[in-house]
Amino acid sequence: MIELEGVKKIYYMGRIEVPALRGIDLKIDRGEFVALMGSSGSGKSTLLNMIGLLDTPTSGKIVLDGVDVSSLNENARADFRLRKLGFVFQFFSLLMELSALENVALPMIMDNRSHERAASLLELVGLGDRMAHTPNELSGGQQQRVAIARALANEPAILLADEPTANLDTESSHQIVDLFRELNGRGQTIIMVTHEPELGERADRIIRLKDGRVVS
Amino acid sequence: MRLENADDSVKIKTQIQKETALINVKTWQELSAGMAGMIETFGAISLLTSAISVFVAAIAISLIIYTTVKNKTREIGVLKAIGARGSVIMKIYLAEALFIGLVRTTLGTVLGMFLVEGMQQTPLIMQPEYGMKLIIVPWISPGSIAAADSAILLTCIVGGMYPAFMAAKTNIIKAIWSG
Repeated sequence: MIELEGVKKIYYMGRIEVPALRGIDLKIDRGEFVALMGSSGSGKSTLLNMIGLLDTPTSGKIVLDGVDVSSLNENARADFRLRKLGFVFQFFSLLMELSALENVALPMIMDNRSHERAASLLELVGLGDRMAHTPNELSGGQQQRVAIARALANEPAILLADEPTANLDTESSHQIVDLFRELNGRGQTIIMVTHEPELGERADRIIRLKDGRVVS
Repeated sequence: MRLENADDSVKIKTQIQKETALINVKTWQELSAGMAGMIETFGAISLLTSAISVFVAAIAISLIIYTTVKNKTREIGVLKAIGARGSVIMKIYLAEALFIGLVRTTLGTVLGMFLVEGMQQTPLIMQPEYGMKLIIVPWISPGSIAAADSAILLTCIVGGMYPAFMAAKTNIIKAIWSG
């Protein structure tokens, strides 16, 4: 499902090379719920950005859902993100002018699909009674659930979450991971970056990174 | 002698001279040479003012769209992250530039037509010491309005090009973290 071979990422600060990933080899099967863990600067978010096609590796190969995405051009990467990947970000990243329902419907509209499913997705994440609310009218936990519903809009092959509970209280954090468990139970492949061991342990597998390398 | 068509003045002058042997026959343009020169100068100034206005409009629209893009960086990042192509983002901002242009051009055209209508009611009358009395009544042809409006709309699109291109090229990660 997800295969990485020798993935390296080097950032340049002037002439200084800053290696963020130093050769990652990784395999994640369909239907797995994986937690990426590591201290700050270990490269976990960079790795998620590579898998999510938000950034390009300096070298190495990434195969997602049978497609070698390393060779895709910018438009093909955007299309792949739209149809195959779902994102949940730390800061919810909803469009504040749109209602919860419109936020969830957006990826479907962008893909010229019928957006009737948007309402049922909001019901799935427990926000069936908040569809017309704008993000400002929702709590942090509720906003994150809207973001999860949006991530599921186009039935993605992989759901990627970058520290989705970092800005939430303990109860909301557990609710979000409960939701991920429920989605994973339905067969959804999930990769979640977290630095909270308690939440990471609820995944099927923990991949630990240190200084840009997988250590376990 | 009043002519049906003012442009026939030279032709009629020659005809009168041939038929009557009168030497001192002058066209209205010759009699109002000073005034004609002034009108020509006004025309040149008007053209220059229009060119400057178009340039200023292009800069203004560019700044408006640039500010919008800067204020919406995070949203642009989110849209790109969930799969919007750069070309879609570019079209959004070009459409915004065009919309602003349409609204302003419509307002400008309506206002201009009211002004012309008002000036037609009270025409400017000029009586030079020698020559003919001139009654200046402003008039704008529909063709001129269409050409000016089209030029402004085109200017809006050109002005919006650079910021729209910048928006399309936004780095997703930086944009999402821009808060």
